[in-house]
Amino acid sequence: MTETPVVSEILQAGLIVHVRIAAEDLSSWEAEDVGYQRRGGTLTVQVVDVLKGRLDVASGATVDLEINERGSASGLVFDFYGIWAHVPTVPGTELVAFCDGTGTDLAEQLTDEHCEQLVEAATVLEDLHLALALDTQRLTADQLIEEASRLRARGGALFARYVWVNIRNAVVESADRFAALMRIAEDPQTTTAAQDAYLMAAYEDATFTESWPAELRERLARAMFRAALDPATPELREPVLGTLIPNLIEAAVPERLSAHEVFGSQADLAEQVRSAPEAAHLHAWLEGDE
Amino acid sequence: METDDTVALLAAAPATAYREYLYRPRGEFAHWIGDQFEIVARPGQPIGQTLQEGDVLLKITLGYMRPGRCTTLTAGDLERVASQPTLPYGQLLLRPRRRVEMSEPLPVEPVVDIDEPNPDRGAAFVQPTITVPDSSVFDEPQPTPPQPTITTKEALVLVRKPYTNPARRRVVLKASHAFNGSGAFTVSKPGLIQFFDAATAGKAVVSGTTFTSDQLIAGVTIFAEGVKASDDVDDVVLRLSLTVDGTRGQSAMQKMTVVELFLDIHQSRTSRGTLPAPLAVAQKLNPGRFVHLQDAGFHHGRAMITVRQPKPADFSGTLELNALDATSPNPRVRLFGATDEIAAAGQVSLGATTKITKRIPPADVRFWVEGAQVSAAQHDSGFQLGIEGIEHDGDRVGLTVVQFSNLQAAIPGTPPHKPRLLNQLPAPHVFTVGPNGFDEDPMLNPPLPLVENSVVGSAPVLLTVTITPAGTPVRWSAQRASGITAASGGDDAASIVALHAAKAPTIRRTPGNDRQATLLANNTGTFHVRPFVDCNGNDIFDHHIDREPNMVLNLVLGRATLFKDHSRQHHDPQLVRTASGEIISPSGTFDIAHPEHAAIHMNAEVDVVTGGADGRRVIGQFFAGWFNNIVAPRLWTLTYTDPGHPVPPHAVPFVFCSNAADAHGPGGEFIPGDLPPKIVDPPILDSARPHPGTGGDSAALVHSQIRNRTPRAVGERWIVEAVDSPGTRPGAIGGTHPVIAAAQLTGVVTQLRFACHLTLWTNLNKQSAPTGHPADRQYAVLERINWQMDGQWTINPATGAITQVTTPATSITSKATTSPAIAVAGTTEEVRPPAAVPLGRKDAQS
Repeated sequence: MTETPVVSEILQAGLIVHVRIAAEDLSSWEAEDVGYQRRGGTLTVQVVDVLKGRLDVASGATVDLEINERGSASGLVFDFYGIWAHVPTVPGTELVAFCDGTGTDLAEQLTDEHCEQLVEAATVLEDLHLALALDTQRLTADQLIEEASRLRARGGALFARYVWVNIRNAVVESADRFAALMRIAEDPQTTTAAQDAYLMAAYEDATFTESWPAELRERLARAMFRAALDPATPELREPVLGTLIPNLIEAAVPERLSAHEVFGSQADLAEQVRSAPEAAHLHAWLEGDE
Repeated sequence: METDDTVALLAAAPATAYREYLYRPRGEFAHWIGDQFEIVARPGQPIGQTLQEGDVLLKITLGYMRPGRCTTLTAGDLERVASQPTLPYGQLLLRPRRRVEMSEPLPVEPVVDIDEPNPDRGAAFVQPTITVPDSSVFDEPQPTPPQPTITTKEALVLVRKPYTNPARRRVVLKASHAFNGSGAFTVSKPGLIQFFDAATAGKAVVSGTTFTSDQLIAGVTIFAEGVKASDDVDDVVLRLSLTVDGTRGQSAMQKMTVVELFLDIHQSRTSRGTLPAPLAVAQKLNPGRFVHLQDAGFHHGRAMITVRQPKPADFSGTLELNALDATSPNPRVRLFGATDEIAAAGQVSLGATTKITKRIPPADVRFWVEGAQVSAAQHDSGFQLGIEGIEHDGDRVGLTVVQFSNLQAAIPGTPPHKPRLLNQLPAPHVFTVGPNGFDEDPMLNPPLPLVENSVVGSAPVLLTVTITPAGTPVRWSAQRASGITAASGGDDAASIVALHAAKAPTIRRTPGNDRQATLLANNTGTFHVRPFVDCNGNDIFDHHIDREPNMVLNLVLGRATLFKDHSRQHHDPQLVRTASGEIISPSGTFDIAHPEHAAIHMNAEVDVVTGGADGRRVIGQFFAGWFNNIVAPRLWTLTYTDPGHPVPPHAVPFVFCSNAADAHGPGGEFIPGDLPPKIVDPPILDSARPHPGTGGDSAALVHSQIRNRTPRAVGERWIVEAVDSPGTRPGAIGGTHPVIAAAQLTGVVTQLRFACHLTLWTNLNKQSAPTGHPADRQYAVLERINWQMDGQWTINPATGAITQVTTPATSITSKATTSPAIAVAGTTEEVRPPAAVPLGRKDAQS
């Protein structure tokens, strides 16, 4: 790992724990500040799995949590009101908490002070299992890229960020490795979330550090074009073509990228871009006028 | 000519004959004497020959213009005269030569002027009157003539200047005893000394004034006042000449010197290589020169004092330089030698007084003076130059020892875009310069951090300072810090300096109150903002040239520029039922670690440059966050339809109002019969942080953060990000109309409009959260992202089915960059309360 603007929540967390709500005993909502309401009470949670870090209870144990849930009186949600305000708490709900791991008391870790994220388990478990399984194997960068390729249809954004942070130095120093990663990022078989995460991580690193060689940035741009123009990933089209690619090619430092440099002999890709209505604002660049 | 005739001629003017023969031996008279007489003995010579009757003895009183005597020795005189081993001075022994007749007539010359300054040499002829004594001079009893005297304690007087008050010198004219006549007082050089009959004021006593015998017996005291300097020492001769019985009597003489002393105090320097210019005479006492009270850290400058060569140049008396309060146990000023311009440890002060024993060279003698005690009033301190033991007040200069204190900057804060609901700004933050307020080092004198351009001209930072004594004129200036040691972060990098053509931020004195000024944040880097006393009239603080009295407020102005914006929408709004059957409208999560799960991810790379060689001076006191505003009055609008009266349906919008307490519906809605909602117009702050809009990041989205701060060659690059996923909780949407029970939810329209601002501020306490430290309410904005969420659905009351009418969308509609950041004040951004969510209510009055 190295200094990178991209962070992996899996690597950052000191404790990742999977729990299930076993019982809910909460009061009715009461007015708090003007416009806000609050309810409190006891949630009984069962530890399903400690995915990372240590707790003073084992899997299967139940722990009572005294919680406060906050919300607006009108029911409008415009911002974050605390970890318990944005997840269901009905019994049976499974949650995953990303905590700082500064202690082993689950009740303490599942508070706003120590818990960075509390999300529904289904949204993250697959990524967590994939990443943590790799984490125990102490893989080389090449091996990790190989694994990322093998798991491309399963891993989501968390997994992709985990991979990126671990191999960042290796891919930035090697055009071949970087190309290997970009092949994953532009592969339609890769989950869209992972495509997005790989491309975004590389893009943020390239623009933030301003130290990437042109060859890598050109390769990144091609991967971005391919992912954005894939009919299977329409959600990538507007942000990638509208924001990220213009930022990448127009960055004055180290130097701007020309269409000729980006596409080289790959005229078919250039033609794809030229014919995409969402890339109309890039036509002047494509023709070499900018 | 017969011998008796020649002797008679000598007897007519013996003193003249004596002096002509001895002092002008080539003169005609000397030649004539040589022709008529041979020398028996000269003054001081042994009498080597046997004296003879008929020898002639000329006898005069040296140093006096008296006629002398001419005696022809008789037999009785020979032994007495011959018994002397040598002939006394003032005597000349001649022996007439035997001649038949003279060869030439006796020359005649003018009468000698009594005021002739050198009586011993100023010989002249008078028409001889032959008076041969009847008897021997040694036997004849002589009447004692009245003796005049002129006495004064010191034969010098100082020139009086318009601003000095040297004491007049006392001169006493006297005669030894009564006589019949008068005494005339004369002065050889007019215009150099003026005499008076009193020590102060009085009447003038002019040259030529005569006094009676009685006055002179009693003694006449007159007082000398210097008017103009002598050309040479002793060049003024006072004379008291008596006239006795109608003839000229004896006279007395007193030489005097008029001395003029010159003391200058100098301005502060205007260039390093040039000595500071002296204050003009009109200014050297009032206002004189200002110096600051010196401190233990030697932060303050010294004023140069020079003693110029007195007039006349050959005057060699000992001069004395004294502080006006030199006799005080705690004088306000202290002197240092010529090499001690810059105060430093180990220097030995000369104290408040010093003597100059060596003759002053034409290039003058230099001293430096610093403040030791604060003045109680303007120019109540200073120095006098005098002559030791005679007079203190030969010249003088004025000084005021000042002291700056309590230098403060009041930072007003960013006002509410819409003043309402008691959201006015509290009192400005006050930054007070600390105990090392005279030090330029930002490590010792911590700086005030401000975001460049965060201050607008209509509400500038107000600077104030206290200065003692009252009435000291204060000027204000700012200079870029230079000479800062590497250990303290060094000088601003060249790339920082190059950002602005202007050398420093704008400072303006407050008209009518020079202890106040205003400051703008319109520059980048490290600056010394200071009140100072302008000691050379150029209206600028001559940084690193001199140290005029001053105090230092260090200021760091940080520039924020937008490097890249990567903000993007991720998820569109939905309208769905929960497992328990309730309708909610989610758009994503509030998980900054998973921005891809949010409706929108605000994400920008910001370059921040403050000051110092690395551009990161106190950069830990600079912050940024995403401040979201709701910019449209409606959010969700629910439609309820009464099957019995389907037209028109009942629209129930969410609105922002300030009178939620007037809503009495079962779910807190406004219902018919309630007062109408008092609409709070947008923009409205959208933050769920505690005490939103009270400073710092309290106006930011809860998950707004600076993900990392990465050093660059100069400055840092930050990733500033936030997520937002507006929606509704279960229960907010659904069910039946709060008043018309038969009316059921049949439609939902989402129409949210936002403007999210990338906003910067500072906090001296290094906290992103509001702490009340400067300047956590002074904001600048770097980017504005306009974004929105739209959607429309219908709900089938019978089945509960939700049908999408239009494609829901979260979209960024525009981005506006103001890079480098500009003041929020004057833009449409709202950073003050109230926050939106507490104001939200359903309006079911239609």
